[in-house]
Amino acid sequence: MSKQAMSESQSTVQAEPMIQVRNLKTYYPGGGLINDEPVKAVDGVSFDIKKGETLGLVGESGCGKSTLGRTLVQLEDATAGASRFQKPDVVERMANSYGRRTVDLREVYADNDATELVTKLFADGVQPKAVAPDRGWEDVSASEIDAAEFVQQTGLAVSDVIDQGFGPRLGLFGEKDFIFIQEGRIENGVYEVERGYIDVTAAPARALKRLRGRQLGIVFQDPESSLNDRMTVGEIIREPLDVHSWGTPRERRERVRELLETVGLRPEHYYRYPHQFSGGQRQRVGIARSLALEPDFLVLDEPVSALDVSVQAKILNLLEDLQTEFGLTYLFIAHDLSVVRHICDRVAVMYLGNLMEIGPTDGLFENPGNPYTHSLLSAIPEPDPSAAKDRITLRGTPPSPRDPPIGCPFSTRCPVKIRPDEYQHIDDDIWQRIEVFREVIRERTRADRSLTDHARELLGRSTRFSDVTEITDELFGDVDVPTEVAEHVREASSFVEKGHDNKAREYLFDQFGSICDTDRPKHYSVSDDGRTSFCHRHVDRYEDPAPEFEKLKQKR
Amino acid sequence: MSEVTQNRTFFGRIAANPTPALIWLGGVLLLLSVEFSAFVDALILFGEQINPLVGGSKDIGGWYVDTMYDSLGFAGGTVMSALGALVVLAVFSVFVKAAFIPFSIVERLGLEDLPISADLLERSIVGAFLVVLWLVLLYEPLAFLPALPLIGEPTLAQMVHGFAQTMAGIADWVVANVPTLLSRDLIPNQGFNPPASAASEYPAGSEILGARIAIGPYHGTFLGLSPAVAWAIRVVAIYLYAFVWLVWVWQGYKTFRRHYRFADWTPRDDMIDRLSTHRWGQFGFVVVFLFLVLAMFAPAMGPTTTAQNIYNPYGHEFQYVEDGEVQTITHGTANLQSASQGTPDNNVGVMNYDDYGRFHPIGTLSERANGKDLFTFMADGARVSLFIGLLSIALSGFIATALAMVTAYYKGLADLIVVVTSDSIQALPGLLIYILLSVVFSSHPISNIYSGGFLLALIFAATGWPALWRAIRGPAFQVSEEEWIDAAKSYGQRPSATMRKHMLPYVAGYLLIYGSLTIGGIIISVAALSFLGLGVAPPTPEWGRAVNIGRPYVTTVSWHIATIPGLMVVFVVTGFNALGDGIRDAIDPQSEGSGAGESAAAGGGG
Ligand code: SF4
Repeated sequence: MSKQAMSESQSTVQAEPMIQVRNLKTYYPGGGLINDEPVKAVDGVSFDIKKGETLGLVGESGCGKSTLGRTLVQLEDATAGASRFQKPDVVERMANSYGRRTVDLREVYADNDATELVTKLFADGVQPKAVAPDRGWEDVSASEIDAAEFVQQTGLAVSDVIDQGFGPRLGLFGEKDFIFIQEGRIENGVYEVERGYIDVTAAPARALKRLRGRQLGIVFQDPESSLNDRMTVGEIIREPLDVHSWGTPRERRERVRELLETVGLRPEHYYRYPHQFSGGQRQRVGIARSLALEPDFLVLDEPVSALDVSVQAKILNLLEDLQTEFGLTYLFIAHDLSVVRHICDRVAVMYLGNLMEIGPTDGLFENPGNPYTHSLLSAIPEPDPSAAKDRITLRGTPPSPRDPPIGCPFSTRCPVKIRPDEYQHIDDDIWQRIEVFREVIRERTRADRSLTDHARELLGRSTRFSDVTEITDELFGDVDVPTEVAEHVREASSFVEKGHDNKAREYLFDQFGSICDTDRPKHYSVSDDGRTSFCHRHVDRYEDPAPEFEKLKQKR
Repeated sequence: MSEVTQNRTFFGRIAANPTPALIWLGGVLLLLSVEFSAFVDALILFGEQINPLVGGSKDIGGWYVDTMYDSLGFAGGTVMSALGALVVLAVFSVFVKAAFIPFSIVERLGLEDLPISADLLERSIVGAFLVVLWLVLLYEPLAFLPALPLIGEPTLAQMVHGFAQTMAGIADWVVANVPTLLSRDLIPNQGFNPPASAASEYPAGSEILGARIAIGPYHGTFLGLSPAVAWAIRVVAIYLYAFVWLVWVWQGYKTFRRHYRFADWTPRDDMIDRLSTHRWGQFGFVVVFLFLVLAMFAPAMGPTTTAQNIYNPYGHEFQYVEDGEVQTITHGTANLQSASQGTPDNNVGVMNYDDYGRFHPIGTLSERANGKDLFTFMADGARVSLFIGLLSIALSGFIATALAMVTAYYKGLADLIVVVTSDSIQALPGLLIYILLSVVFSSHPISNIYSGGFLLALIFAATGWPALWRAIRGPAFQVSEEEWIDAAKSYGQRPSATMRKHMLPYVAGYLLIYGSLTIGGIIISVAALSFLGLGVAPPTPEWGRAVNIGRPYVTTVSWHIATIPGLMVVFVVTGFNALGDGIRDAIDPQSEGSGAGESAAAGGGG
């Protein structure tokens, strides 16, 4: 949204979210010969999108933002978690055709006791912080606390447990139930729903088919590939109408002509083929197709990244106009931050399958909370080149999503990562080198190796990777390393020399690991407009990220 | 074009500007009318070949109906029979619609605004068409008509039967009485040059619509010309006629483009443009065209008929001149005397007359084949090759496409199963399987259909689909990765419709390519089997058998027996391959030249 439009749209944004995502995970099965760990493309994200709002989703390529978007419209199957669509009339319609898959949540609330449920969860190995997120139980393990006490202190209700997605796990309802009613009536077997949601990830294919196009839609990045070039533009836009038997064929053709005009093309383009259009025009065709049935929620998967800069602005304006006209709700996926700032009400920053920070756009851009957001923003080219700006260049590449860090996903590259207390006094430069050394070792454990290399490693023979002395010389040769550090480095190097890269990695982890390496952070509120950030530094014990970045800049 | 005219259906557009369409249609009717009874004849022939199949389906249906009437009485039986018929029909029409009709009939016909579900209407139309087709084939007149043993009373079935018989009678009458332009009745080439003594008894020329015009002295030939010239005129006329058809169809396409198509450009235009500059592909097209016309017009092509030449040579007599007298002799006896046996005394070579004044454009066969006319043999043999080739390609292409769609859309397990199956089939030694199956089925009624040609086609289809599937699997997988497949899913398109609308059009071109490459292989294989004395049973002609018969004479004056059929096989196969190359380059210009090895492999892989 542009600035003026924003004040308007914020007033029309209702408190009730249209999309509720809870602990959503999308893993791709492994299938490698040696390494069959799944690729954790989306690794447990939770957020809401309000009706009429545009939520931006940014991150580097490969961070899982596209997968997340595709999961919300079920082009990918979710591995766990829920993506809930809330719109009373749609829920009512669905409930009346899928009565057997409908759950009246009020009954579930009444029939169950929170303490009992939590006891079961704790017995099942669920950690307190997962049961009651944002309520400060991260240091407490399940065995240390009594469930009744926990429920009492947190004021946890059955609804909270269900909201966290523990329903199926606790057997509160079946795995296949996907319609949930929170408020409403049932009379003579007919549902009247005032509040409720559909869990899209659990919906059966037939129900999904009815939601697709009419409630959920997606605009793709590449208009070359997303339009079938053997069909005329008219046929392409008409297809969703045909699929849902919208009106009579004559009305459909008329509607297609209207849509062509709506997206800024001409009705006589009906009989043209995609080949005859420019990239921007094709994207308009793609948008018209997605809009054909006026869906409530549209995922825009980098809709302008494949286009010329001159065309981008036009398409963005079109998307904004359409949002105002049809009251659409957008998830806008992008890697271009300036575009996001221009069009989005709120922004979510994603890294390695996790949301690092989420909140209203202006606050996030002006006063970022999370270290990753800091780094991302500092990479935006300044419109005024004379303005002095200290870029934070991130070291290395993101870790493999097959093998993400145990603690904070950003911990392998974070410039302001928390140090263990015993190393606080060490010179920053040397600490930096230690981190690089760990990164190198980690890379080695990740590198593709042949079966022979594996065999050699298992036999303790040296492999082609064993040039570790060179690395240590390179890293620590010209500085004065404190003895305890030198000791550990030597120990790790000796593991590597014997070909035990993984042992070296674990050893370094044990010696130099901090809370960032060992513990997953959680979302802390970082502003009064509801922005949250996923970082240990927001705990009082540690310095906030912002001043740390200031320190970094001053040093240079 | 204004918006109002743009919103018309295809028929609406024709109604708005009927002249070009009417002109074109007039041309079609004219072309049809001159050969009308030949077309009816061909239809009847087609029905005869398919009849045993349809008859089989009728037997099963009859058994079902009988059982129902026996066990449920009249009312129950009627209801159950109707229900059964409806179910079968519904299944077939849904299947045929999904598999063979990629466009919407309802839309093409402009019926889309009727207040009934378009899908239902579409399938009803297909169903009605299937019923008519089935009835036509079942009660096809020239086949043996078993009385319908359903029930004693006049029934619907009997009424249909009566109707079909009436139609059949009409068809027979048409064939018998309506003259066609290109028949041997109108342009006969069998006759003799009567001696002066009998000139008045045997006037020169033939009767053309009651009049007798003669330029040459021959009795019974066209204009009294020599048999060779009369035959040549007929063959040229046939090719001209076929060529005019070709031009007219092209004209129809251009008319459509100019007057009735809204899109001023479609991706197909580019393909046609590329094909129109592809010389090698055009060469292939010409060869295939020559071959197709030879096969289609086989009855009128030969200097003699198949009945006289092949099937009943002793039942047909003709007259010739010997020692200044007009004599009568059967074709069979004369054939034996004119066989090519490899010595100059016993040889009728290329462009020669035999001792009985009959013209043989490419000579005669040897004594082993009773000295038949080789050209007539080859023309009819072309039909056999084409029938087997087309049928097996159609069947294996259908299997391959269906599997390619399913495996590319669902991937994973479906793909694995088909890979294993097709590998197993391809691992079998082809020739051995053909021999084994032809022996196993030799006494089965199925091996009587088209003298075993039908069985051969089935065998080739069953063993040939893996190769075709392999060939189109790649393109199918490629297109299945396109984002428009995801897009279709994102607005709820059914998988079957996605495959048909968004994948099939991309794969169909490749199917055409590999189909035309493979058909050459099949023609070679059929010839090879006949060469080995398997496959199509004599006397039904087959090119490979001609090569086999002529083998002992290759180095003698009777070289033509083996050499000409052999060359024709090579020529036709090359033609199909060239056409396939042309289509490939038209569809996929990037691949130009890269697929030479591939096409050779596919062509030789029968
Ligand atoms: S938790 Fe640690 S590593 Fe992660 S962003 Fe915060 S400071 Fe950096």
